[in-house]
Amino acid sequence: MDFYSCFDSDPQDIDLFCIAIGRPDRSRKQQHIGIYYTSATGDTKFLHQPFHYHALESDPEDKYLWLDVPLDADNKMHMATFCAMVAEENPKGIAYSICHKGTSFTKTGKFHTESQFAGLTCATFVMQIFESQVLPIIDVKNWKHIPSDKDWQNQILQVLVKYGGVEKDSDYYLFQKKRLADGVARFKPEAVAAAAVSPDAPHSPSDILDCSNEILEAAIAHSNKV
Amino acid sequence: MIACELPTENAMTSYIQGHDVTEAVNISARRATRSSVVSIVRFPLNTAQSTASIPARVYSTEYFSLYKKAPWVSDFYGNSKSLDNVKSLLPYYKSINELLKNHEYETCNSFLRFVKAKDLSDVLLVGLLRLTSSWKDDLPEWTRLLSSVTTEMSSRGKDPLVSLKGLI
Repeated sequence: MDFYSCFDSDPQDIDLFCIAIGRPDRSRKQQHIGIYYTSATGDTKFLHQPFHYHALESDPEDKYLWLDVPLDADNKMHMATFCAMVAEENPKGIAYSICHKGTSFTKTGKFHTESQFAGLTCATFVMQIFESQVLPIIDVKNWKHIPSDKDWQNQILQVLVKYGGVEKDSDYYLFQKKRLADGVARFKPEAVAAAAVSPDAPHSPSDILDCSNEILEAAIAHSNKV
Repeated sequence: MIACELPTENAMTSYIQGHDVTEAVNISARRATRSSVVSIVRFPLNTAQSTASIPARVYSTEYFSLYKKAPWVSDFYGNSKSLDNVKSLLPYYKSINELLKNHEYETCNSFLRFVKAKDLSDVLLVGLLRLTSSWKDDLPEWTRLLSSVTTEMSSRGKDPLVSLKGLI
């Protein structure tokens, strides 16, 4: 697996569409994932889900590694164009949520949810970009939630309240709590990155465990260097 | 802005129904020979894109109806072979999405009906199908396009099973 970083490459030289992953804040031990893609201007842009209704597009940053995806040139160009459209169609960002079920970009590149309170994390955002163009990378049905998922999801809910403007008595918050209690699978950024860069998708957790660990190690090592 | 004026659908239909014509040449000719046109549809011809290459296309009631609702299709059909980067593709992706967003499935289906796989760029061979795949149940022409794209890909030396993964 080839990792690219600011130490050996220029994000402006990406091959149209690739995965970007990093640990933006060393103290938080939390990875963030998105997509580097070639925009209509020819510049590389970073498409990602940063937080609750934050802008989806920004410039590449040194704190991220990037990895190629196993798509042919035509599909990469199509995906880059689709990313440009998603950025334009969702200028105010989209909801951040641990519940991605029923969400999609299939409706015109504009974020769509069947449930009023569903949304995406950075990882499920990347998954849905692929899924919406009939290139699923994760076998969602065989991706079960594990007890430790709840710890992270609880933290996310606290962050949504503290920084996302979500009220604790709001329907949005209560919906998240209920789903959390029911058990919602977590998709870690490194696992989604591994699924995106591994051939023969969609993948189950066991398919990509080694690759996921390798990406995590690389992201941590990179965050210590930057 | 130079604009060539086309007769309305009704006026044109009796004259051309069932005939294959080349757009630019015959549009001008018809315009010159017909003076009693009730209303008109504007057909811009002076853009760099629209004058680049205008292929022969079957004129029919459906095509006129499509053109009136989505004038951009004329440029698309004329330039689809050269649409191979984000800048050139994006406006058409947005236009197609606009149809779908507004639930204009019939118009989008007509648009797909007049797409010829051999006139599409390599990117559009996969892009058109992926972009519209979520609505394929509402777009009967999608399946025909998939079939013709599969054949065209093979003739271009591409493996449809790879490029069209998930679609076939």
